[in-house]
Amino acid sequence: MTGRFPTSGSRGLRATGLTWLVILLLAAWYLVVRPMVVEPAAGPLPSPAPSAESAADSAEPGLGQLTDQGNGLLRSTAGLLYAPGSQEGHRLKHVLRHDNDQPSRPGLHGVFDGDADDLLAVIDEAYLLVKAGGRQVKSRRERQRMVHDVDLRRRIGFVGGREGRRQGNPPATRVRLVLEDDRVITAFPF
Amino acid sequence: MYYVGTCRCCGQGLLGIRICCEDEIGLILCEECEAIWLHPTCPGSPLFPQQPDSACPRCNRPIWQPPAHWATQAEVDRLDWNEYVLSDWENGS
Repeated sequence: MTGRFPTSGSRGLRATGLTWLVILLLAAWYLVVRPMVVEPAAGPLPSPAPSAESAADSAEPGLGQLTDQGNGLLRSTAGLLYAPGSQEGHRLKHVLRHDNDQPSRPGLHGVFDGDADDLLAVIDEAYLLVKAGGRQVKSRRERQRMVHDVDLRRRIGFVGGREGRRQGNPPATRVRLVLEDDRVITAFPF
Repeated sequence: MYYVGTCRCCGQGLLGIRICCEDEIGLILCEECEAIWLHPTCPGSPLFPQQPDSACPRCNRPIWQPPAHWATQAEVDRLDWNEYVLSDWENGS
C-alpha cells in the first residue's frame, strides 16, 4: 500500500509541514508585531515632540470648528462655548496655551499634539464622550462646575512643564475638561 | 507671580497670590482653572469666580482686570504670606 502512492504521501507530508510553518510564523508575528501596532501609547515614545497625525487623524472630521455667535462667543461643533475671560482675555487663548510646552514652568503642563485645529477637535471629541457617558469618562462636581477626565485611549499629547520634562515627557492619553455648563473654563491633556 | 503650590482642583494650575481690589485683599488664585482660596494653606473647598466676568467671590469685581493684579513682593510682605511662597514665576505675571 505504501508503495502505491509514494508521490502523494510525500506531498501530503510536505503540505502538512508547510501549514505548520505558516501557523508558527503567523503566531510569531501576532506575538511580536501586534502589541506595537495596537498599543502605541502604552510604551515609551522615542521623542516628546508633537506628532500631529496621532491626534488629528483619529478625531472625527468636522470637530473643533468654531462658529462666531457675536460678543466674542465662539461655539464649537460639539457645542462647547469659548467666551471672553481668563488671564489671556479669552478662553480660546487660554486653552491654546496647551498647544505648546512651557519647559521652564514649575510643575506639570499638558501639551496637545498637532496644531490649534487638532487641539480643538480633541477637546470636542472628549466633550462628545462626556455627553454620551460611559467608562471613558470620570466626572466630579466642584460647586457650580464640572471636572471631566476623559480617556481617549490613544496618545493625544504629552506631559510638559518642568516636572513633565523631569519625568521624560510621558505621553498623555486623557483630557481634563473644566466646564460650567457648556462653557469652557480650561482643558488640557494629562 | 508668587505662587504657593499646585491647584488640587485641576491638578496643573499654579496657585498665585492675587490682589483682587483696591482694598488689597489677598487671594490664592489658580491661574489655570480660577479656583480661589482665601488663605495660602488652601483650606476646604475652593470658591470659583462668577462667569462670565470671573467676578471675585469676595469683592465681586473681575479678577483678571485692573485693579486686580498678581501680588508684588511688598504686598506679599504686607500680607505676611512669605512663608508660603514657593517661588516667583515670571511667565505667569
